Amino acid sequence: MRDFTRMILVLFIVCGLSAGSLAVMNAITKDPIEKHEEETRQIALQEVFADAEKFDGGPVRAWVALSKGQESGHVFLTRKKGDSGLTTLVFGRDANGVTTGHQDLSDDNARLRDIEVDQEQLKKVFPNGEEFKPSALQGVWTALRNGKDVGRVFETLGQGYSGPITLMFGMDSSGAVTGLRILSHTETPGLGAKITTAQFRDQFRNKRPEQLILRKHDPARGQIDAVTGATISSRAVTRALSTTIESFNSEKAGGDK
Amino acid sequence: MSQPGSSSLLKELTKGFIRENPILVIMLGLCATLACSTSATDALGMGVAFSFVMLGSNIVVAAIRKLVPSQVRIPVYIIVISTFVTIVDYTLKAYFPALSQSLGVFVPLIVVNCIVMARAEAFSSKNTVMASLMDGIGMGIGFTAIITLIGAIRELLGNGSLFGHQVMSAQYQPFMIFILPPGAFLVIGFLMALHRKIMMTFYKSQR
Repeated sequence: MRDFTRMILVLFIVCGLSAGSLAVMNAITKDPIEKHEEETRQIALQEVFADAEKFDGGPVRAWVALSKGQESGHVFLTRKKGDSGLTTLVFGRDANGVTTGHQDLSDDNARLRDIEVDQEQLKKVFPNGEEFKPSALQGVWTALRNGKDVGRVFETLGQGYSGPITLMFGMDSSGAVTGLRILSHTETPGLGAKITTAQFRDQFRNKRPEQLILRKHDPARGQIDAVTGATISSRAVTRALSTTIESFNSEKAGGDK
Repeated sequence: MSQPGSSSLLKELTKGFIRENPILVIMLGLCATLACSTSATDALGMGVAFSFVMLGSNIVVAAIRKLVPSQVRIPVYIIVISTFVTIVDYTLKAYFPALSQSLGVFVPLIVVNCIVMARAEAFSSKNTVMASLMDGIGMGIGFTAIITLIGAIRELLGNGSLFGHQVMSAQYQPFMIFILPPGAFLVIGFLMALHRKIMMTFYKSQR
């Protein structure tokens, strides 16, 4: 019995000390990590949409709303900086870009991906939706030049060969891609990882949505050459762009409330 | 174990370099070695991260070795190791973001790197803090040196560059296989053979 309590005690103390030191470590590194993420994001935004001066928007979580099996709009969860600090809100938008409803949430400190949103809540801000499917979209920005809306920047996920590929791309008001940047990925070094090279990414510039398909899959319309030996990674990137554009082209998310 | 003198401490330090090199002799946790040696820079980063975890966990495990009941020693080691790994992971993310991105998931995976676990179990749980410190430094240096060497060879042959700088002429056609996982096995195999050769000559001359 004595051994038993000792085992529990030792494990308890070791875990406590470990948790304590990690809490300290987290407090020290939280700000630099967040600052760095924000900086990389700004650099990435500027890179994918060089013509814009300012970007309005931010990270979001999105759901595709389905009514009668058809896509009828989206629900977004986002965080906005207001006069009284940060507010977190969910809002719905139908296919015409009309807001269907919004609701403020109180979880202002949790990370977006940790906030629990159930179907009921989604239905409240998008009454026409019967079913809500999580979307890969990670962020939306409105690109502004001289205060005028000149396009969108999307951050989204593609399913790569060995894990998700996070990427960001811009699209001007005519619907042409302005630039692409891979934010993170776990593709094979030397093969799939070459999706980050300018040689691959620059192909997307000035392409129209219908041209965003691998040349080897559709020689007639496709305008994108896959990286040699990395068709899956290349297709994941190309698809992420085309599905996002298809789904969100008419949206004006995160721009205003 | 009797109180180690300075000569045996030195032995604990140097054994990791050649005689008990973690990659070439102990051969545990090759997963990280294979995955993070595609370029010399990544390999060096992995080596440094690994060394820090090795050192930290060795010291702590040795310090608490008499307090921990043997039935719960493995969970305790894992908690200690994962704490150090998380510290390294956060530090890299905060101050070396580029390196953190290229090492990716392999930093968190040091937790399950068998070398760290094996040294905790086989060495620091039975030896003094000082000896474990020496063991940790030695193993860290041995690991870092060899993984960087593997990384350099693979990067040079597979990509024509070294630490990110192009060194081969433009006509050089890289052997892509060296960047891929089989290349890591090939390089490790050749290094092991070389290591054996050196060891055999060395011991023959001593006798």
